Amino acid sequence: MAKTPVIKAVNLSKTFKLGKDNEIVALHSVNFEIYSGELICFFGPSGCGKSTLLSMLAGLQPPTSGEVIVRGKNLANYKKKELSAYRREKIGMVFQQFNLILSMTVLENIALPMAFGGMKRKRRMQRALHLLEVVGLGEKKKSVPADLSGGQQQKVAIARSLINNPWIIMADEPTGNLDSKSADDVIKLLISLSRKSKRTVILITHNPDYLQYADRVFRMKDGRIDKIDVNAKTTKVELVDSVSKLDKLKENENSESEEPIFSSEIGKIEDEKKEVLSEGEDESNEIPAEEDKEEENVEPREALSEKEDESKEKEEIKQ
Amino acid sequence: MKPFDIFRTAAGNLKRNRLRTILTVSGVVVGVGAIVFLVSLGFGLQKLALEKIVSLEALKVITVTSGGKSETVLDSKAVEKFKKLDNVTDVSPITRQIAKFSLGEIDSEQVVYSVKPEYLDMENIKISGGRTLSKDSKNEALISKEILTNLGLKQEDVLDKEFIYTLTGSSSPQKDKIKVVGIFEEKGIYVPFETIKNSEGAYASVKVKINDKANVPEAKKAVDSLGFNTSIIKDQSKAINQVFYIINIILGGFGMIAFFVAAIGIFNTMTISLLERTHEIGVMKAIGGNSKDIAMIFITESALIGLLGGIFGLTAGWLFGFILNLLANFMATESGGEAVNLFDIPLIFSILTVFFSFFISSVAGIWPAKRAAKLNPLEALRYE
Repeated sequence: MAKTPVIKAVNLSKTFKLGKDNEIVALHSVNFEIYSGELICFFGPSGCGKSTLLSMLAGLQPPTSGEVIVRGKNLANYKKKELSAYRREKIGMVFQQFNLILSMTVLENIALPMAFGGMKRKRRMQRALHLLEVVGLGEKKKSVPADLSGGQQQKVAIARSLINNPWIIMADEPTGNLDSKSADDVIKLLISLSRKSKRTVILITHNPDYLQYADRVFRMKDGRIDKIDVNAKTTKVELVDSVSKLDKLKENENSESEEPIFSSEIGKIEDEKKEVLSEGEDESNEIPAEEDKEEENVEPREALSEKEDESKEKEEIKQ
Repeated sequence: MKPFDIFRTAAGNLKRNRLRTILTVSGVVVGVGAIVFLVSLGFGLQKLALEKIVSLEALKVITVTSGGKSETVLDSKAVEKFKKLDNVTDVSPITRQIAKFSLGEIDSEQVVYSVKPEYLDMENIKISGGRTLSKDSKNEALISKEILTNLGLKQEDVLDKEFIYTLTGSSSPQKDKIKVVGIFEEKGIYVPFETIKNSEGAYASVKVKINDKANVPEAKKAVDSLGFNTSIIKDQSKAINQVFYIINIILGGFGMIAFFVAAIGIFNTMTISLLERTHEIGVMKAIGGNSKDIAMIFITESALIGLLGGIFGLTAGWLFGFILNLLANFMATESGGEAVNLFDIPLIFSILTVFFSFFISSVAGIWPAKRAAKLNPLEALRYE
């Protein structure tokens, strides 16, 4: 299948001016293409321009020169409002400091991007609860971030990044503030999002342990991509429990019937889960990436009803 | 973001900083309370003045005076003319003469009004001692409290006692005895029309009573067209209203000073809140929050402060006035005075005050909201 990049950087440069004659070049004319479903690691020492690069991919700051092209559209052509919508619906950000809003409950945090999108409270809370269960924190729905450990907070942040079913997850040192056990959990969760949901995941890290999981590793140094490693066979990881559970559920469904996952049997699964499942089209997706639906050359299509369901939801978001 | 979500977020933010919210709202309560208290005092006094000075009955009366020409002399013919006009229920002439009274050991010159008993009702004359004049009264008089005070006399010195008077103004001095039957609040001495007649046959003025307040302007025009001068009490109430309009503005202005200090407080609170929440705003923007939504959250917060302050301020101002009025009335009745309502808050004024507080507070939130909307998301994210 002819691959079109999800995100493409063309001669991307960023220069910071510190005073009159003092310029710092954070990024030197970087070029790359990232494809649907890839797990990409940007790896390099502090100050090599990783975060600057990510913030430009996320549309948080414009490049000094060059272009960021997401699914054929240049971010520079987006108006302010469109850029907000892009950040809200097409990408999911995960930060090192979790960046949850402390005055809101866990559920409200997860649902916040949908609130900005104008989604009804009932519906977004349902979806947030489902995502919270997916990341294995269903029992914490009434907690506020301060009640959670770092690892739990980061899982909530990941759930938040997934709320609008984005194309790309961008994680900037998501394990930087976590102990090794929590860090492992979080990384596994991110990897499972990529592997099981075929969602594009861009991970910034300076921990070499994680590189084995990536499809490609962009090694950065002094504002340049120094080297690109391609992992022929990425290391498999044991998936996070909650994700595996959903997986098993689906396998059972499939063993009973040859029909796709969204057949009548799915009705046995509780409603809200079905709702989320129905948004994806790939059978193996618990939390499917939206991109798969939009790509014309992706193979098995699901029943129309699911698409309708999704288009309804999208309409609601627009409202 | 849906308006209700904006509201919910704003309310949540206010709850988070409970003490600061309470303090800021208190500032608005003081400001709005001061406005409500002072202006309602103004309105109360205005209402009181209108009630005391202008009775409802008095508003139905046209006072007619001579037009200055021979054909417009106020005499019995003129009275007959007035009686024939539409909507006229009563016509009561009054003469005014100077008489020398021997009250006890004191001789004094006083203004004597000869009136018909109906006139006393028309003018809303209040009797504070003794009785009023009746239709059959002859050689009886009502004397004003003022005269007694000026002459240093007590009520019992004059009531039901006879005095000698001499008309001084006329060419043929008339001397007779007269009995004081009542004391009243206003000025002068009233005697029945038949007791002292004007030798020239002309009346000082004529009171024309109209059946309804609404017909007064029309009747006034009719009397005017006959060539007489007329005046109605409504003109005075207009003047009273004008005076109180100015008084209310001045009182409201004092309250406004307190209110603007409160508005600065809101501005200050919102600016500090902006600094505190810079990082949070960065997060919101990074996960797709619109600048407009973020600005609206800020404006909603300050508007909510204004609304709460307005409602509680209205209550506080009203309550303070109410308690003060109770105290004042308690003291007034203790010392033999009349209980009155010193405070009056018209409904429209209450609504306007709350709306005003809401509006000004919203305006105070605009600048912090704009700054929040303009924050660079990346810089805001780095802000700790």
